[in-house]
Order: sequence, then C-alpha cells, then structure tokens
Amino acid sequence: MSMVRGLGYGMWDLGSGIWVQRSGANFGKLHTTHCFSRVTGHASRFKLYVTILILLAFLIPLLWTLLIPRDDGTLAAIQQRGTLRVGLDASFPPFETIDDSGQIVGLDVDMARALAADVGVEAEFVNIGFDGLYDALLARRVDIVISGLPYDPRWTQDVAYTRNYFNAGQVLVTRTGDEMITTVEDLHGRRVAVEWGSQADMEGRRLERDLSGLTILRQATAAEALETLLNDQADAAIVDAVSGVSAVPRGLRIAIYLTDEWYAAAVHIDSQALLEAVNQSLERLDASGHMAEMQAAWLHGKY
Amino acid sequence: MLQKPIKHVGVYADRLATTVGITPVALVWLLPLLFILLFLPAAMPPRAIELGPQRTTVTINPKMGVHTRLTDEVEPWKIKRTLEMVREMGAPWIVEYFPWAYREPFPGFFDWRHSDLVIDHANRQGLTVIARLGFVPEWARPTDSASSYLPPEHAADFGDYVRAFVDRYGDRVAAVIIWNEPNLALEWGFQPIDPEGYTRLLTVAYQNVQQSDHPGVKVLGGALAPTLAPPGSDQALNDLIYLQRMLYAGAGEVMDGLAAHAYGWSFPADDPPDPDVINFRRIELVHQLLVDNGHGDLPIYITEGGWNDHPRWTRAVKPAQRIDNTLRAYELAQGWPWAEMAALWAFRYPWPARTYLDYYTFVTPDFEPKPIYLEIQRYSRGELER
Repeated sequence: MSMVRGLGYGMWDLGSGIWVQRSGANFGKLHTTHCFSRVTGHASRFKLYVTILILLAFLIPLLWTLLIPRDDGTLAAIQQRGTLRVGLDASFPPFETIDDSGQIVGLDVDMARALAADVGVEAEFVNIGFDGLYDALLARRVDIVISGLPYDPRWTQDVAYTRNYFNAGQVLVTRTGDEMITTVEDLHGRRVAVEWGSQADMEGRRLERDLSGLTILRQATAAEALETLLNDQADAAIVDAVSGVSAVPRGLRIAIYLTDEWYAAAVHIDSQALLEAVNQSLERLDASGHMAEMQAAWLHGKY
Repeated sequence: MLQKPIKHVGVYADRLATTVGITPVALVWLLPLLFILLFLPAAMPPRAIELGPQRTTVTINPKMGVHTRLTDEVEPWKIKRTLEMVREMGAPWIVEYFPWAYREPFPGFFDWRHSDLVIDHANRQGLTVIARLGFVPEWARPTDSASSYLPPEHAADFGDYVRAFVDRYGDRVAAVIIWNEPNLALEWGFQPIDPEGYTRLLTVAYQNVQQSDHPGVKVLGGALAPTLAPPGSDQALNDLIYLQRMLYAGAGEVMDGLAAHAYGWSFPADDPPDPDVINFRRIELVHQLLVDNGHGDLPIYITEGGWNDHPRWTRAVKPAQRIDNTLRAYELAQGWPWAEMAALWAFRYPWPARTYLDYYTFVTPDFEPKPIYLEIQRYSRGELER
C-alpha cells in the first residue's frame, strides 16, 4: 500500500483512492473513507476545500506566468509606425560596419531588413556603442538589438533572445577532402597553424597539453595561419569561425567547432509577439537558404 | 483571543512531533537547531584564506602595473590568486576600485571587509596599491539618480569617506584617485560637465587627506577619458580642454599627482602625440599641459590604458600587435621621468563580459594566462630580446 501524506492529518492511499483520516480528537486512530464519495466529518471537508483553494492560489498565477505570453504591444507599434528600430554598434565587420559612403552595412543589416520585411515594415538602424545596446533596448529607444550579440544568460531577466543565427566560436579548419581529421584526437602528431596570441593560440596550447606530438605553428595573423594550411605547411588551422567560413571557397572546410559563441538578436522580455515573429522569420530564412546566401555574401573570401 | 491560536500551535507541534516520531520536548530543541543549521552558513563570513609569506615582485621594469578588477570578486581565494598572478607576471603596481557605496552603505557605517581582503593580499604579494574612490551611495543622492551623481551638498560626505579610507589604510595604499573620467557626462551623473565643480570636489578630498592620520598618502586628480568630443557636446569634453580648465580653477594646488588614461586604440605605441588623435602617447600632451601651467613637477600615474585584440572590433589590433604595443608602452613609461607607473586595463574579469571587453584582459576568468600574459612575464624577467 503506497501512501502520500496530505496537508491535513491523514494520507491518500494511492492504491485504493481511500483517504486515511487521523482526526484531532482521535489522533493515532485511523478512519478510512473513500475520498471522492464520502469524507468523514465537517472539519475534514473544510480542510479539503482549504487545501484546494491554497493549491489554486499557487497554481493559477504560475500557469498564468508560464502559459500566457506577456506582450507589451511592441510588434503592433512597429507595424503602426512602419519601421523596425534596430540597435547596433557599427564597428563590427562583417556583421555591421560603416562603408565608404557612410552607410551602415553588413550581414546583420541585411538580416534585419529581411526580418523587417517579414512583418511588413522597413528597418531603421540606430548606431549605439556596444555597451549601451541593452540599455537602449530596455529604455525602448530601439525595438530589437541585432549586433553580433552573444547570448548572455545574465541578461535573461530583462531581455529575450531569439534563435541563434551564427556560431562565432573557434573552429578547426582542414583542407576540403581531407577526411583524416574528423576529431580532435586525430591531431596526434599533426601540425596546426594558429594566430599568435589569439584565442586560437589558447586553444592550441590546450590541445598541446593533451595531445602528444602536436606541433603548433604560430603565425602573425589568422589569414597567414590559413595560408600555411593552404600551402601544405600545416595539416590544420585553428581560427575564429568568421575566418573559417571565409576560407571555404578557397578549398578549406570547417572540420570541428572547438568552442561555441552563438550570436542571437535580443528583444525586450515583454515583447513576446515580436520575439515570435522574429523567430518565425529566422526559421524561414534558414529553411529557404536565404540565411546561408547572406552569410556567403558577407563572409566568403573576405577574411 | 490570543490563547486560541497559541493553543493550536501547541496542538500542531504535538502532532508534528508524533508524526515524525520524536517527543514534543525534543522537537522544541530540534527546530531552533535546524533553523541555525540552515541559516548560519549564509550569515558567516567567507572562509578566510591564509595570506601566506611576504613576497616581492621581481621585474626589470618597476613601473609596470595593471588595473585589477576585484570590486565584484567575492571569493577570497580568487582575490589572492589574482594578486599572485599579477606578481608572477612581474608587475609591482595595481590600481583597484573601492566604491564608496560598498564601503559606506549607511551614513557613518563602514564595511571594510572586502577592501581589507584586497589590500591585505596585495600588500602580502609585495604589490603597491593605488585606490580609485567613487560611486555614490543611494543615501547621498536623489532617488533614481546615477551612481556617478554627487550632489554638491554631499561633497563633504565623500570627503569623509576619503578620510576614513586613508585613516584605515594609511601608507598601505600609495595614492587615492578622486573620481573617474569626470569629463564624461556618464561619469558626472549625467549633469553638465563641470571642471570647476570637479576641482571643488578634489579640494574637499585633498583637505580631508591632509587632516587625516596619514597626510603622506598622495591624492591624484581623477583620470580623464581621452576624447575628441566636439565643442558643445553634452556627452563629453575634450580631455585637454577639461584639464586646462581644472588647472585654471586651481587643481594644481590640490593634488599630488594626476591619474591619466592612455589607450592606444588601433595605433602603435610609438605613434606620435597629436591633439587630434587618441593614441598612447597623447599622455605626453597631458604632461606638457602640466608643464605649461607651472606644474611640471606633478607626476603622472597611468591608471588605465592599453590595447584590445578582438578579431572584429574596428578599434582593436591583432593579438601580436597588442603584445608588441603593450611591451613598448611599458618601456616608454619606464623612460618617462614624469611617469610614476603604468597600469594597463585590465588584468582579469570575475566573469566573461561576452563582448569585445574580454579582449582587454591578460588572464581569463578561470585564471588561464593568455599569451600576452606569458610574453609580459618573459619581458619582466628579462628573457625577451627587444
């Protein structure tokens, strides 16, 4: 017989559905009764009602919070205004930068325009220093931040992040067609080129500690590390993902992501309808191949 | 009326005791014990970490320093490890921030536990500490105002904090920096930028240190943010213009030295000084301004500066350039007789900033030395041929 202790002085017999009552006056003696048809005594019935009320008092707000999405009307305001105000720091090529004609351009810019078009408006770009992006969002100066923004769990009480759209972590790059290196362990006895002093260099030093016979070739820049690989002077290279993706048209491939640094857009935590619309749009961009096209246009062969 | 609930409590306690199988008397003892066991750990101070033996920094360049960032580092062992690693890198100076709001949360009530930890460990590692003071507690400013806003009527309270700090630590800190980058609206409570108002605050702080138990502790004018803000900007005032106005207002008489920030942005360390360029050697223009105003004897303490090696940020340089520039900056500072030391930003963050700021650090949050740390270490040991 398995029993679960109730809030009153008794317990539910899970096997039979019987309420085993221990009354105040006869504490220690057991009274059994069927829980759904007959409850012994007025006091027990009262306790049952109180228990149900207490549970409801907790459950209703909980369900309200969990199931009813909060929305502050930002999406409706965007559609009424006709513009999606996008916060970004245009000092971060190829995601956002200022071109020779003074225009803000980049992968994030193209993506923002596509997202805005999906909700029937135009994108309006607000150039803000990176440190001020979240404050601008919370102060409602912008509707969304799209700015090579890494997901940061410390902000999730105030902002909601969209789907990830780019992993900017460190990658292991090999020559296309080289199927000998598919895991980190395959680097035993190999030569790996890195940019001296970079995050890739740090990854290389970690691998050097773990793998015997690994030789790290330190180059002045990430581009030179990739050249070393292309010239067959190295078996692999570690670079940041932007450099790695950039090198794909030159006969290199990303074999392994060694670290993750996901970029996402961010909206105010209460802008749930906007969040949903942006996520749907990102999903569509992925599925249609448009996202891959934009990434290729901004990254391939440029870094 | 009150007897009924009390009687019920007794009945419930009796039933609870019977239910869990102990006597009511035992329950009377057990419940407070349980309460203590649950809540005592939270009320206890963090486990003390042994200071260890007295250490000395060994370096070929005694002007090398770093700005640590221990303000939000709560674990004593991490504070100790940070300072050990600074010493092991070969930097004998640190700059650290001691926010007024953290030390004096209520008027006249001081909590020195965290600053004691930092200064005790720094001194034991043989490091010379420069303390930056600022950050207004809520009780000294209007509700919802910025923590950098100090109403003039509370300037004396800040002066009291400066004096209390100097009274407590004396010559265990070499100098105190009064405020930070007051030429930015952000750092001046979003009020109109006011060099004369800042000079009045500096005067209050200076007088308080002179009247303290340790008048030998140096008072440094707050470092200005190097900026080319256009005239009339409500966000910032050009640092050279701001300093000139400070000196006109008498700042040269109420400081023992000047803190200064020297960021290189994307320029090499040797890029020549130019009033229209933000680069490392802009600091020479700051010194020249002191000379021109008859205060050439005031030493300059570089309390922030350096380069960033983020792979995409437009103001960053390549990691190899950052290493080269940093070593050159230390060499330049060593050769400037008017520069007391150079502390570069920033040794380590307690947690990842997840922005380009992470690329200013020398050590990761989990204490993994970056290549720049290892190269500086080699330089300080004289192992690099330059």
